[in-house]
Amino acid sequence: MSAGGCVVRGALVLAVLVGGARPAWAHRLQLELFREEGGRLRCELFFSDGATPEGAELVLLRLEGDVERELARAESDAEGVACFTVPAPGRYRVEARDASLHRASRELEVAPDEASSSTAAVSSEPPAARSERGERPWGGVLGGLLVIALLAGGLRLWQARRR
Amino acid sequence: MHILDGHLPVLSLGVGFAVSGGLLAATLPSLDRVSPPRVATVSSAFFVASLLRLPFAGTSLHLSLVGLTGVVLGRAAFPAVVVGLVLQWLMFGHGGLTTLGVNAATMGIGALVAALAFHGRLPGGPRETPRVPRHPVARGALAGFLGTACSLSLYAAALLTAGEGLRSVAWACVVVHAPVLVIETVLGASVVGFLLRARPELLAGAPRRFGQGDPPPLQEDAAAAAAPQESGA
Repeated sequence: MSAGGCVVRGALVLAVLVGGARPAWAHRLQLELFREEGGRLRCELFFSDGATPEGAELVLLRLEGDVERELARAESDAEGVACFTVPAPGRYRVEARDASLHRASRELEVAPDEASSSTAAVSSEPPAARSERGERPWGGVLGGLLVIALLAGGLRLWQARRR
Repeated sequence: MHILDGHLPVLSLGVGFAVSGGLLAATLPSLDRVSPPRVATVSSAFFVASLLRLPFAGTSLHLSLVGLTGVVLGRAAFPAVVVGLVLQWLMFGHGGLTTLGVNAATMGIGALVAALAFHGRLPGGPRETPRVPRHPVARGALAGFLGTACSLSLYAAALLTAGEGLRSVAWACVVVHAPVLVIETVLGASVVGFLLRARPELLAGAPRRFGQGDPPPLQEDAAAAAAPQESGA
């Protein structure tokens, strides 16, 4: 294998180790769902760097087998929050899309005894998502810069070998 | 200004990969004539700029720096943009895997347009004479504006291929990105003004070869020096 090839492969391995193993989805739109008093469903939208999208469109869908039925639409406020009323037990999905086409969706299941329960968070998301809120993706930045530096080293070796 | 997975039809995605693949093949040879630290520095700036977020009109915008990338790297801007986009997708989740071709085409072409606007040519070819063009600051602003406007137009055009459903979204995206256009224009002028004082050779489109020393002296007035240089080339 050439020296340039070694550098490129090394860069890719390092990228996976440094940043790829836990990508910092800084610009991903994320959605959290909470059930509140009276069966109200509170939807919180945010980017993982803490920003909240205003005016994002949210759709509440009822899932019945393979059929999806739209129940309601809402827009997020300045805090990235919108609320729905969940009318009955069953499976639901909330889909969100902001003005730049960032999308997020979550599913939830409402059991018969939960349809009008008290406040409870819906645990339908990866546990890492909530803790990422407000974080900066420094691991991704360092990993990316390292890959670029290694690619530049490979380019330099390639240029030297051609002469 | 990244298009995410799941919005565009397969045909658009294929065209994006074909166009960006062709441009990548055409511009890769220019990497042989550019200083690796320079291309790494500009790629890093392009990669990190996507984290400079601007909350605006209910969404999250970020800078692209396609104008400056084109001004400093010329033809080599395209491969640099592709590397930056791959890393932005891998590390930050900007864009997507299937839309990598479309995103590379929209931003890479924007960078090449910016290089054309600034230099009046596409620096990076063989046997070129480096020179700083006339009115570099104004040209820097023009490059920032045209590069970003071109990227935005291609971005909207790509979204329009998704059909009626995204038509309004495409136009809304262009309007929402207007502040980015303004900032990139101002940034183009100010960074070019700074480089003109600090490192003017970066603005000369110099095809500096590794191991061959510094590029030839710069000439502020290209018109005055054009005749003897071009006959020499």
